[in-house]
Amino acid sequence: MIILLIYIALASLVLSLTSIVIVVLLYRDIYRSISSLIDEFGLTLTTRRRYRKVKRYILAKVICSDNIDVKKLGEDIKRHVNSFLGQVVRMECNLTILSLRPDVNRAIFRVVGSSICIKYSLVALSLQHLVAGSCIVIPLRTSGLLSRIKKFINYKR
Amino acid sequence: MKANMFLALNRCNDILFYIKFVDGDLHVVGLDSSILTECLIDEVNKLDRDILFVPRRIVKADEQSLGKCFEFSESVLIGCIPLDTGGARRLAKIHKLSVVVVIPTSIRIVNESQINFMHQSGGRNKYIEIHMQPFLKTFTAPNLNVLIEKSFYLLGNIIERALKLDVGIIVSTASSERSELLSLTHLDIILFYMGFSKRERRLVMEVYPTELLLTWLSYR
Repeated sequence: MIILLIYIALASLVLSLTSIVIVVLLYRDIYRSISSLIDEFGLTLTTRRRYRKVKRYILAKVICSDNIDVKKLGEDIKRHVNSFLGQVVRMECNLTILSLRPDVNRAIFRVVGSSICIKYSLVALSLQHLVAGSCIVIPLRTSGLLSRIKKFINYKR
Repeated sequence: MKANMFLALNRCNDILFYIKFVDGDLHVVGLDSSILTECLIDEVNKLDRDILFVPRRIVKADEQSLGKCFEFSESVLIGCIPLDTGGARRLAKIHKLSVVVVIPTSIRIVNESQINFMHQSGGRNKYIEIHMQPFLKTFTAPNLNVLIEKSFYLLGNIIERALKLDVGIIVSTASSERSELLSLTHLDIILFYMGFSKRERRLVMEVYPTELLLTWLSYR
């Protein structure tokens, strides 16, 4: 009787192990078939978010050799950065100037788009003066909260 | 300690502008030795900050004229741009302090195998210095023949390999004009863009420059 029970236990063990192996081997196929099924029923739009937008604020130091009109300066920087980013990146990333304070040499930029946009925008802001020969923009701090950025507007002159 | 080991500006006013406004929290600046003597006398003394000025000279040398890289090396920290592979190999093996400068023309010579040679030669007195401004100038020029991606790839490989083998590598701005000044924050952003972590960036921009300075002072 005991031997029979041991046999049954061993058989169930082997069965469970083989089922685990089968699941591991077929995992990718099962996943693919389930995802295609979800796709077939049009559930993708509810289960997955394809467009993930991130909003970040960049505090930057703006250094100009001589006094320039604030409005013109803002437009200049915007134009240079946008030409530096190019049309393809601008489809995904949106970089705008929020505020510009010439008295403390600080400006706040807003980046909206996918997460890689922050990197693109930082590089574009850093290198725009090499192309256009305009004011030098030095990004100091990035944050997702405008209030936190505003605390640093007087951060070292 | 923030250090910009080479600044190619040649006017005292521009240097003051850089130190005062662009990089306000800089500790070490490398300047051409000729301009340094000129500026130190009147202009720089007016600064109310403690800044260490390092006299630098950048020379180009091939295998035959390699002696230029070690002339007056006691009073000036010389950076050497190798013009051929033989020169670069000798710079890697010599038992003296050598700083190999990487600019767009020398990036083919100072590649990963050169770093391997530097690592094998032993002794912590071999340094690689990347001058960023000449690279960025070629990147931002409206010339479609410049392979920006390839240059970035080679540059990234050099930095990564050097960090992996613990060969001293420093990045300096080497800005030559007032309108094209680069700050250390810009360098940091470019390194971040290339995918280096915070620790790696600190190594490249703060730790290795200080180490180079200490090595040079101990060699004198």
